Amino acid sequence: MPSRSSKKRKTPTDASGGPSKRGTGPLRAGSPAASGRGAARLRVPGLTGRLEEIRAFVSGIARRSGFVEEEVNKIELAVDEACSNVIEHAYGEERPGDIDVSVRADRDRLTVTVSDNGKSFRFDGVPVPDMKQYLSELRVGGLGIYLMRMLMDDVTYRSRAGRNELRMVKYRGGGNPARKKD
Amino acid sequence: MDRFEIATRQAGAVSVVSLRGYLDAHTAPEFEQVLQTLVDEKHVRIVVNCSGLNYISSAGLGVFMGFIENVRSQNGDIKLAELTDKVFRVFDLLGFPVLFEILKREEDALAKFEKT
Repeated sequence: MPSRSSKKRKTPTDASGGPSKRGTGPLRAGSPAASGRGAARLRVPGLTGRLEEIRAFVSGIARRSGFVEEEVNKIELAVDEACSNVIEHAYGEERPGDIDVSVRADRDRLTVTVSDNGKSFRFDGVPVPDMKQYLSELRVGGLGIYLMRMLMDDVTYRSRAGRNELRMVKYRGGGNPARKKD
Repeated sequence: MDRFEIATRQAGAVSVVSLRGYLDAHTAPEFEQVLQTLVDEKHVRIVVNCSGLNYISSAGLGVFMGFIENVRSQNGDIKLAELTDKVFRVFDLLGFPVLFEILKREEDALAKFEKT
């Protein structure tokens, strides 16, 4: 027998009238900080329950700036993997912190930067898995960085003064022009 | 927020797990719990119907990986059915179709079990 779910649909409770200002929304600051001008920013606590909000934020911008749906999906997944890694590894359960996501759309590319104040790691030291071997050994986990590298055109990581920054670039029309030599 | 729902039912000797919404690092533990309960109860013939699943990340894929060896060692399997193109592309990107049987329709997946 199919199980029935009788969950009630949640209805907004702010029926008191009048627009309510909330201080927890996305920060769309245009301040010329680390990520440059015109970057849209979002700061959320590093909790898995906020991943959906991060995905919606990034995919919305990618879509509005003209990326086709398949590319939007790739960007969305890469950012999710980056943020999931921050939550699980950089912060962990013992010391949660904020995740800053900034998205900048330029004529030829979209740049997403994910920053945190958690533990750093040797990004280049993370081995690229041999997927055949990975699957045959039925391993679990550890695919995040591999996915990011496959989904995006350029992925760089740096850690300085307790601040970690993962920058991912997606070029329009598929692929980094500088890489099209082969 | 009810952005992820799991429904389980029995179709003969096969357990059908239907997923709706998104499967990410937040919702994967819930899916893991459902599979764990099935396996604990010796329900090792499982079809996961993904028709309502609109997103999956590696945390979700990891759940499938985490149970496949166990169920196969008990002559069971986890077969997937009715994946949307978007979700299939993620499985495909990582070569998962080599490891998992992915069927177009739920009834096809159920029929596969009947043959074994």
